[in-house]
Amino acid sequence: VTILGTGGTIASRVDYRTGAVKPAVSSEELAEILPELRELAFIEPEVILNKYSEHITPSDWTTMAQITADKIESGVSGVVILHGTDTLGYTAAALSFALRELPVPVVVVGSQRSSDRPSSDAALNLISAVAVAARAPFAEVTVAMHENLSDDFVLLHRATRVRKNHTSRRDAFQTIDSTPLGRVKGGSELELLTDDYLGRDPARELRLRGKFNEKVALLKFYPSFDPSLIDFLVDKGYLGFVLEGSGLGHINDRSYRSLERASEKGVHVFVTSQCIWGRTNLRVYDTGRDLLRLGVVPLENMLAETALVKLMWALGNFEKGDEVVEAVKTNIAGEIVERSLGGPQRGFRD
Amino acid sequence: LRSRLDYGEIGLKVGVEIHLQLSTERKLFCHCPTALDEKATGRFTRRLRPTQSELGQVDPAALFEFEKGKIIEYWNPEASSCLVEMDEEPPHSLNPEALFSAIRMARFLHSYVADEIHVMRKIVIDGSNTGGFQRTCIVALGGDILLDDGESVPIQTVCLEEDAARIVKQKEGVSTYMLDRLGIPLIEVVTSPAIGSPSKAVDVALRIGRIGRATGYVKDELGAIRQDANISVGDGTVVEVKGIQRLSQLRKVVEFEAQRQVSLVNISNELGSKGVSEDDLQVQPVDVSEAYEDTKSETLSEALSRGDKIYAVKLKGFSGLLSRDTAPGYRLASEMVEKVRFWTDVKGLFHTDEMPSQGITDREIRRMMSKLSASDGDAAVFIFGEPAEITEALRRVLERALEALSGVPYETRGCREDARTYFLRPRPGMSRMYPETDIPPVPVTPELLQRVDSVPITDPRVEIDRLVEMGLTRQLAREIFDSRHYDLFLSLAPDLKKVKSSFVASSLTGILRNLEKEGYDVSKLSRERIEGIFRAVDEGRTAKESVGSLFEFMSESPEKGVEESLEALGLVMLPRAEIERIVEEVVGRMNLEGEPERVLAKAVGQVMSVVRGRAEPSVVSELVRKRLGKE
Repeated sequence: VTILGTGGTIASRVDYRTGAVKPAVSSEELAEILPELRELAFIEPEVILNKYSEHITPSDWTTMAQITADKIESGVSGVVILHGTDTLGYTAAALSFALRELPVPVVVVGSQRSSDRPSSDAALNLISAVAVAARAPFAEVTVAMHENLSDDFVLLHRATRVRKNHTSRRDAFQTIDSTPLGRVKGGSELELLTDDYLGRDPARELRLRGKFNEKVALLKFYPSFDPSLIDFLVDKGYLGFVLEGSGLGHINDRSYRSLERASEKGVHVFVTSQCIWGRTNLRVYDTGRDLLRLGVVPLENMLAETALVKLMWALGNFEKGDEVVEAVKTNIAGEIVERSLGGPQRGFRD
Repeated sequence: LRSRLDYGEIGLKVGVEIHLQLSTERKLFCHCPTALDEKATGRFTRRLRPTQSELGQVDPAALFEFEKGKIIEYWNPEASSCLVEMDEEPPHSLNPEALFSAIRMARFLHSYVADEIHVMRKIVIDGSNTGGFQRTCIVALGGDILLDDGESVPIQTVCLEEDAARIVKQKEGVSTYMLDRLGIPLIEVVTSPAIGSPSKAVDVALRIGRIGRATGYVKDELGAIRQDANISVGDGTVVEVKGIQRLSQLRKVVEFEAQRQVSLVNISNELGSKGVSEDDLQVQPVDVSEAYEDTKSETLSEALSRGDKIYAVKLKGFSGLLSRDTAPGYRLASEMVEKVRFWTDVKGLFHTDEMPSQGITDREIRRMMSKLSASDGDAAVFIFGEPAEITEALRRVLERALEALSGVPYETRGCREDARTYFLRPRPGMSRMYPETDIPPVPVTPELLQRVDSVPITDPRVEIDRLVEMGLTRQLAREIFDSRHYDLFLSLAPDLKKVKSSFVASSLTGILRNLEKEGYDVSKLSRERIEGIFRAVDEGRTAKESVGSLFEFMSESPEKGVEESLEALGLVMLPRAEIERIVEEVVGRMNLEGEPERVLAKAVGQVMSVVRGRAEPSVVSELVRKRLGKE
């Protein structure tokens, strides 16, 4: 298993003289901090970046995707990526789109409580991530984080459906409107929560689509929303944006003219919902039907953050406008869930 | 064992660390209240993993606890804990009210207040702190404390720290803690090891406690003031004794520890004069099962028949030392058992100083000793069980024996209810401390110091003098000052017109203490209810004599008010006419022959036995006198 360090709280150490956070991912250091790792798999750690996750950019995603692809081609059983938690969800989604036809699992893992405290969640998360990378039957990009406040279970969230929903709790990451792929008990026992996944197949040929176009924005609609924000993006040469509409995906009528203008200029406009849970639908109310007429494309129950990443990816990897829209609208990595179920919103039995 | 030690001669040095729990509006690093509330609403479990300190070292005791796979369960009551206590949210800013109190304390002790307060983390991974560390900060350095006898003791530091979670149960492999106490601010005052006797240690602790109480912020609950002590004798070692709950224990702990250290130094000297060296104790545990093949000892024969082995180590020159008392009810062998229990699952051991006994014969012991090539002055320790485990246990026995060569081991000890101390854990080094990066340093501005100095602490001695002026004896004044009802006393006593302050003070100390001893739940007597009782007396609705019965009754009937209780007990004051009627009835039946004073006393006594609690004795006496005057 390859462990790629990119920075963040997990597996880093504070240098008390300078106050700087230093990565501690030489294999010796890791083995010293987490002796359990040695029993799980042969570990190959490598530091590829050292950034707090708020400083990570789409070009870093490209680097991560490239190196991950190289490692997978060299034949590892799985790749674990250590990442700060702030934008961990964005990176994980980006990798889901960039690494097509994955033959083995890629697990992105972070920690909410710093690893220089004895109570850190880093150890259990990382041990579980390595166990999954080494042995899980699925070959998808997942996020491994605590299921609750106890040091018992780590959930494996599908990267396109996961969201950080708390600033500090160790169970901040939740799968929205779907089911996590599985949970790891005590750092070693994997229990699958669904059989709907892409299976591990080392013979499958990975296709790398690692480019991202940054001329994309995410806007949140609110009662005093100023439509000139849309005009500004269009004038600045943005190629597309995702609007987090209210409720089923609505934007007010004050914005219609700006939206129409964007469409005319060939700027792609997509809508998700700021409700976080639930599906957009622009056919129920007049407003929705108006928006559809203006060329706005609703994205079912895709998470707004995932939609943003996907739009960057689509613009990076497809030339023609229709291809871009088609790619964004089509489910390719579990980002759209067709069946929304009743029961607890956490989406799995508890 | 010497009956009385000359503490000067043995070079006793004691330093005390006093922890004063504060009743500030909020906890030290979050906005939860400081009142304990244990209605648990949630539970969660954790494992604490030792982290490398700045120097790349892992605390060996901490590592050991982790390797045992210990699980920690927490109960988090909603009324008294939040995500901060659960280590699920970064700490809030340092509570300014607590800092203010600590600085006031420091100023009173002439301690030098730091320019900036730096919060540090002290690694503690027994689970008592959810983060795996306790937050602490030095507020002031140096200073001194003046005792009532005019002597002074230097102060080393005044710190502000967070209290730990309360342990509620400990089962094999799982420790359970309640989070209500975690994070309550504590002022910690550390004296230098300049105290030369057990009674002086108590004086120092008392005085610091009183000064703390004079800040008005120290909680008046049981367990709100706790102390640790650092104790050494001339040729001994500084031993830290933690968790001394009461002052009566502190004196005994110091006596016990002084005695233990003197005895251990003697043992070390004896071993030295016998020529026992470290090399003599560099031995391997030996399988001596054969010596017990046909033993009549039930314990050993059962062990052998289920496949256990018996291993032993020879302790050269230790014969007679293992079972010699080193302090009351304590021996070198006890210390070996404590270490074995700390480091392994082995529960007990046998040693030759106690043999032959428990069915083990002299012949078996001799066979074992010859297997160990031991001679007359030697002792042996033997244990049955699974070879790997008992080898480890015996290695710990040898370790303790080696320590005996040099005298007193450097360690942290705990304190039992009867004030005997026991091995708690090896003493950690300074590397346990590192900066709390989540909280920036807090500057102590000149303005803050000015504000502190504008409300200086009144010396408790001055307050006690004031109580004496109110008519209390000095002894009673100290008792009520030290009691947790002092606030109530202060707000109540000056307000009462007829009831004397000394009566209030002695009721709040003596009567309540006795009821508590008898097992009454005096916590049911709220401030308001106690006040009500004294006001009823003051307003003449009942007699002074009723106070005890009311305390007793109302602590058992938490729903009843003062009036209801008086009625239920039949203690409502009788009208004067009714008392007159009773006097007439009683005196009318009496034989009035004899010396007038005697007759008067007898008559008053008989009337009082009828009306006790329902009439003031002075009124009874007056009416009886009047009635007798008519004869």
